[in-house]
Amino acid sequence: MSVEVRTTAFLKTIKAIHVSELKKEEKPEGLSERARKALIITSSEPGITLGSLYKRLSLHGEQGTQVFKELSAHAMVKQHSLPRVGKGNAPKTWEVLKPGIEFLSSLGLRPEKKFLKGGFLHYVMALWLKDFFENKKRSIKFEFTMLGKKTFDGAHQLENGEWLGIEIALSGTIDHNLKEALRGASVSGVKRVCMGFNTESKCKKFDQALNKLPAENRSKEKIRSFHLGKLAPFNEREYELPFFS
Amino acid sequence: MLIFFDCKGDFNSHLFDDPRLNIIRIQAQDLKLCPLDPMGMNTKDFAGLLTQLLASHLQLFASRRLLYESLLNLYQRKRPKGTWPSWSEWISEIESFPTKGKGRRLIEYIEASSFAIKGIGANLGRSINYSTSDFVYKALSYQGGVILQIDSLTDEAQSVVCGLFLNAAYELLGSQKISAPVTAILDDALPIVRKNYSSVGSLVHPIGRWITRGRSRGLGIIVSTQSYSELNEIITGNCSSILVKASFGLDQHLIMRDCHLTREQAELVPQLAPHEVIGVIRSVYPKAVFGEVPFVP
Repeated sequence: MSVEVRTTAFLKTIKAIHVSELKKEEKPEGLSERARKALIITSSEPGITLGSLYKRLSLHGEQGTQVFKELSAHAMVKQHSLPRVGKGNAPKTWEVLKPGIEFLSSLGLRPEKKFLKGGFLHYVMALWLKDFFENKKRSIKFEFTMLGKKTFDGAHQLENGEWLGIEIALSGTIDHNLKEALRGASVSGVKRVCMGFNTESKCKKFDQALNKLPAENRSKEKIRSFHLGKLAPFNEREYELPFFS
Repeated sequence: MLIFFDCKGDFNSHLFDDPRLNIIRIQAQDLKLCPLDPMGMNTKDFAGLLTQLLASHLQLFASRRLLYESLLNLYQRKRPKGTWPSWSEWISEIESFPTKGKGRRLIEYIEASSFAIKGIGANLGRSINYSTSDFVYKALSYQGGVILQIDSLTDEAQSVVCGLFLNAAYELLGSQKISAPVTAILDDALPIVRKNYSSVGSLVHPIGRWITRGRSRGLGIIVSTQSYSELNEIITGNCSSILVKASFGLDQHLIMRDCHLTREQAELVPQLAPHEVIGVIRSVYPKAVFGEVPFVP
């Protein structure tokens, strides 16, 4: 018997399963490789735009839609629109939902703990705020309660010791937001209260409501509104914000 | 059991067809390896071992933590019983490692390690991407000789294949799943057995672990090379027998020093004919023996 014959006989006895031969239900976790990667990246970088995500994974639009369908079929992600200044479609991002977090924990990955109360978009805005202040080499505190009267989403102490309070107002009526802003501005030591809205129209409506207040109300001078889209890291240029001016 | 790693592709003889020798020859593309199968080892230990093997040959010392942690992540995943992570899964695990806020250095480590591992994956192709395989076990428990013809692979891929087989042999001998002795022959495998020139890598050697520890479990390693002076100190310091063919220059000098040859014996070394050898058995005390070997066509 020659070497070749013996080798062929030996190779026939090998029991092996190639990774491409695994059935879908036998594949780890039942998710495709792309979907798993996308989920890991989305959970580690909350608020990442779909454009950046697709670029990282080298996906084109249709493949991205397939990944979204696959993940949303397991109720692992939910799509959100991010605020944007100017024209153009609002960038989209994914929120990792509870089944997604459970799946990630089965991989040994645990999403970072949130440092702010509220929903997903509220947290993404807080991350943008954090990045903005870090880039300016200034400090910001989150969930900071001023003299036990008002808790700001973000608070920054100015050079003169006075405080800048920042509120991320994604929900609630204009009247409610105005009431909260006035309550914050009335706290002693607060120099300015900035209310961030996700749309331009909300900013305008808020400014109109603010102007209607009687002139005697001194707190109203401390309040400013701004568009949260101006904080976005994907902006091509830097916008003016009423924080330090 | 004999296992030959034919790294040059010229290990051939009509004697191999003799049924009494029971030798089989396996090409690189016929390998069916499940490289992340820990062979009965603790997964943490195996992850450390594989990381060391790759780091020492691919000069990836800075990426060791990344390689190790990504392997541990893979082992923690739920998967069907008896299956193990695949090589492609490991690549994607490294590539999707969270980098946010971790700095530029981590991105560089990811690039370096994924480049190296992808290179091995591309070189070995389908052969290394099995979720489960009993190839290594069956090859090591084969009654006879197995020639692995891996000359078409890159040095890194050859090193990984040799390392995986040697580790499997060491572990399987330890758990007595295969019977001793197992002899591995590395033919012209200079890239695997040479000295480490990098200052970081000089402390560890890709196969040094099994050279120093395999003896007690019945794992023997025979290294054949054309240049004695290029061999790593772990190998020259641990071998029990040396068969010297015609050598001169630095090789001759080192052989004389390491084998305690007399001046007259050393002067014979460059003059040896192709069928002549000087054998030095070091297990009792160094003693050189001159003899002739039969010519094998």
